[in-house]
Amino acid sequence: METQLAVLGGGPGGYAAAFLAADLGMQVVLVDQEARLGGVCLLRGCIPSKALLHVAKGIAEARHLADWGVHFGQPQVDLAAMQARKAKVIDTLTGGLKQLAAKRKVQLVRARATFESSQVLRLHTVDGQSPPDDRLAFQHCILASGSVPTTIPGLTLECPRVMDSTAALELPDVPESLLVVGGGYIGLELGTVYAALGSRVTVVEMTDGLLPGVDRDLVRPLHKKLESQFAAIYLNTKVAALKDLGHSIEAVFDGPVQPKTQRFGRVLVAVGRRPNSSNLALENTRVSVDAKGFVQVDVQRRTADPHILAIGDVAGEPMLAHKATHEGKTAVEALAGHPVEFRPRAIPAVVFTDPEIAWAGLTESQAKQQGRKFETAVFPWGASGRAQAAGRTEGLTKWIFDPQSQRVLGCGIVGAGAGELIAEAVLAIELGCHLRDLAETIHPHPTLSESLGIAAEVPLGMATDIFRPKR
Amino acid sequence: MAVEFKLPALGENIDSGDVVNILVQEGQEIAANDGVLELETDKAVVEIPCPYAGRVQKILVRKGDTVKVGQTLLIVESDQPVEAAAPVAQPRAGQPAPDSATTTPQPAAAAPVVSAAAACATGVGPPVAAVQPPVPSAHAVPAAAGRAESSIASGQPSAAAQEIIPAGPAARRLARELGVDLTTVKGSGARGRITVEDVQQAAATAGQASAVAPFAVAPSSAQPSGVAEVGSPAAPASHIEPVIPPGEPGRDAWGEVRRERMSKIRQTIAAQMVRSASTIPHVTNFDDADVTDLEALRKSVPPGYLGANVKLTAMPFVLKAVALALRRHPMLNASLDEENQQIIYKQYINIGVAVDTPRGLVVPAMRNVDRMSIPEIARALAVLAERARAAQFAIEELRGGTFTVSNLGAIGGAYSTPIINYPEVAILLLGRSRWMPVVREGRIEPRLMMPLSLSYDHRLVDGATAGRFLNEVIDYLQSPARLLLV
Repeated sequence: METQLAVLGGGPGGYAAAFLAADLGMQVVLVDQEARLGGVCLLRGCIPSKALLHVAKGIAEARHLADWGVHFGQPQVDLAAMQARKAKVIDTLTGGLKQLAAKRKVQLVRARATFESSQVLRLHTVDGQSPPDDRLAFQHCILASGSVPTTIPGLTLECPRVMDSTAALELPDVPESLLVVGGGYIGLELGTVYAALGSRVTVVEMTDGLLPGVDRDLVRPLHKKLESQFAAIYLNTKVAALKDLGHSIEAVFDGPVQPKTQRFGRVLVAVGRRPNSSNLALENTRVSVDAKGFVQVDVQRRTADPHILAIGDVAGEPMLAHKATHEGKTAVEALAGHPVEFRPRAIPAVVFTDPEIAWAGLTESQAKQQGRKFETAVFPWGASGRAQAAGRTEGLTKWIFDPQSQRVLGCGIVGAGAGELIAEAVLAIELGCHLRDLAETIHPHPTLSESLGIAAEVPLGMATDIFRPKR
Repeated sequence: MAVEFKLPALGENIDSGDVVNILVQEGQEIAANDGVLELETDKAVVEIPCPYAGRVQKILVRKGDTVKVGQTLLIVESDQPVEAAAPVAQPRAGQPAPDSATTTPQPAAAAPVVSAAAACATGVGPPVAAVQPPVPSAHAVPAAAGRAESSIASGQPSAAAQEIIPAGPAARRLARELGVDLTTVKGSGARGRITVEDVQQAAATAGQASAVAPFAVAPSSAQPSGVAEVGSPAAPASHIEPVIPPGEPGRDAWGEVRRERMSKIRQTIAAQMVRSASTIPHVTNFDDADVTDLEALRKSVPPGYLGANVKLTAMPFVLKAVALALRRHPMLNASLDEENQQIIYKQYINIGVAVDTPRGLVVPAMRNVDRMSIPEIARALAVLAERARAAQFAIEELRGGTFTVSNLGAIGGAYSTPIINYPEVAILLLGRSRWMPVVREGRIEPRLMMPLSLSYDHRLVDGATAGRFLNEVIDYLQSPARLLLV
């Protein structure tokens, strides 16, 4: 079979690219080895984890109401019902995607694909289901093959008690204790879920802080909260070995931890993800791949091969669904000859823990690293009426701005609902907003979105909700 | 003056690296942003660009050294002020990125790639180094921009200009479309905000010249024979053909407009037409051929006689008539070698047939038409028209024409002044045949007349030569039986 455009991968980057291409009049075939559209994000990433975090949030909030004199008692968890409800969310969304594909006449092909040449994909059988043809010739291909969880050599036990994020999202049971290897966002989000359901969660992180790379002032309130939710957080610590004891896993720690050997009901290894570029026979094309396995692309997401473009996780960090979607649209528009470039000033990132952490644009640590002049404008949530009313004062909103032009470069927020609040900051950064643009934009009261306006008022000497002594 | 080049920041959590390779020598002249050494960090090997142009006076590091961020690497004798050598990775006009640029990550990409690696190991991805202003100067030179930006890198310039241009994504995109350099635009909005209207205004005042579509590819003068490249299936490596014709709304000083990228085929046609019209002194003769008898003969052939889907039109007769006339008038089947002051008489007769396709005009050449029978020509025409419309051409089929026939008859109209398909020397345009009152032997008779317009290169073809050639074509068409006897 042949097509004008082949899209390899049905995740949020791939299906967005396929759908837009069809809308622009291209003939599109989308190849994915899954039976269902949605990729990691929908099938075993963003969406199922958020479904479970929704549950965790409900449980946490019910507990939190004890402060207000309302007691619900211990939650009764029906795991099968929870799994079914989560499955329903996924079914609804992936079913919707299937309909959208059909309406646009995007042909879906289930197969594992490898490149035979710069213009031909070889289609392989998946799960005994053979594709309609063994080859797909294309004029252009958008490679959106995504990423897979990284494994650590030595920590891969052929044992269902040692899980990656995919397995953990299946929620096979609620273990009495869970060891999370990796203090990144995946480990912390899933750790939060298991802790809310009753597991004693221990997190072990190799570096000296949770969420490496994120500004410390944002991580601090989360760390403090997690200390009360989790059994232990071990920093500067590695897992030297895991041993399958049958009914539990024995972990040996290398770091300032006592005791060095501890037992856990299950282990979640969440040490990051790596791009899915090694099993595609890219050597049969002119596509170039860097040392980390990322496909090298230009500002229009074109690879070194004139027939192939690449988007999403396989095309570079950050590995985020919304970045992939935008890249997918850029790639398609580039194919259509539109003058597009993927040159965002800010890509928002959200850690869906409780409290949430969100940031966009330049971070403080990056600014320091680049030796760039910057100032911050901070509003602590303790001064927010809404945060007080909700009993969630452990938060802050911070702008990072250029001291000379007073234009905003970045934003970081920690606190309940930070993920929703960051959107305004992304727009402000993209527009090159001045602090005054934000200060003079009227924010609704009483909401936490006010914190973005008030933070901007602080350096302008306009913030009446907090007192800053004159310098 | 001598400038110290220090190791710039490489990315998150990276403060040093080992020198793997030194890419320059003392005394060597370097341009701004030339790579000067390869550095291995614990994440990747990156090429370090030096922002200063000038002569390398001294190299202060050796292969194998571990160097720290901020450490002086080279001393460059630079004749440009340091400020002017701000390390903005500007694409260099006129220097197409070599293919190897796609395999070696560009130095500017080092920081984002490396910080990405750091994130990978720990599970959380810091956002991409944000707040990179677009590098709008890249768009000021349309042809160069397209090439220069095709260099492959997974990140953005890390040391890009510090200034934030207060323009949102919509204004930035419009600036790309209109080829406007945003750094030169004065924003009319609050606190200098550049609005979409400001960009439109800037484009309008810059005049037509700068308003060309920024992504247009300059017509290549290197193409051997313009039309021959039309329909070429192989696009240049770094260039992606638009899959669909784009249309971008916009406005100029007088109202709404829509901008579309010129297709490759249209660019080629344009270049070929300019070349022909500006090189060849064109003269056009108009005449009519009486095709009453030809029409009767044509109609006497039953449908399907020549094969399924082969329609017998007047065209095969005209092609045959032209081919036979060309045999007797070799000057119209020649071309001019200006460089050597020679006339090249083609010993073959390959007639290009202009075909209107949805993508534009293409002119495939039919080989040795003088040796083909009318039915053969009719069948070949059917195949050719089909292939032209499906764009299934090999470049070879578009090359090697010696004379062109263009048939406007199906659309209508009588006469025109066709432009010669360079380097040919003549072109015959057929209008729509129509019944006209013709005086024959003292009586007015209705006759079916085919209008003919013959343009020729007056450098080689004199008016009399052209006239005699055209008369012969007309004679054949008026007595079609002669065509069958050859």
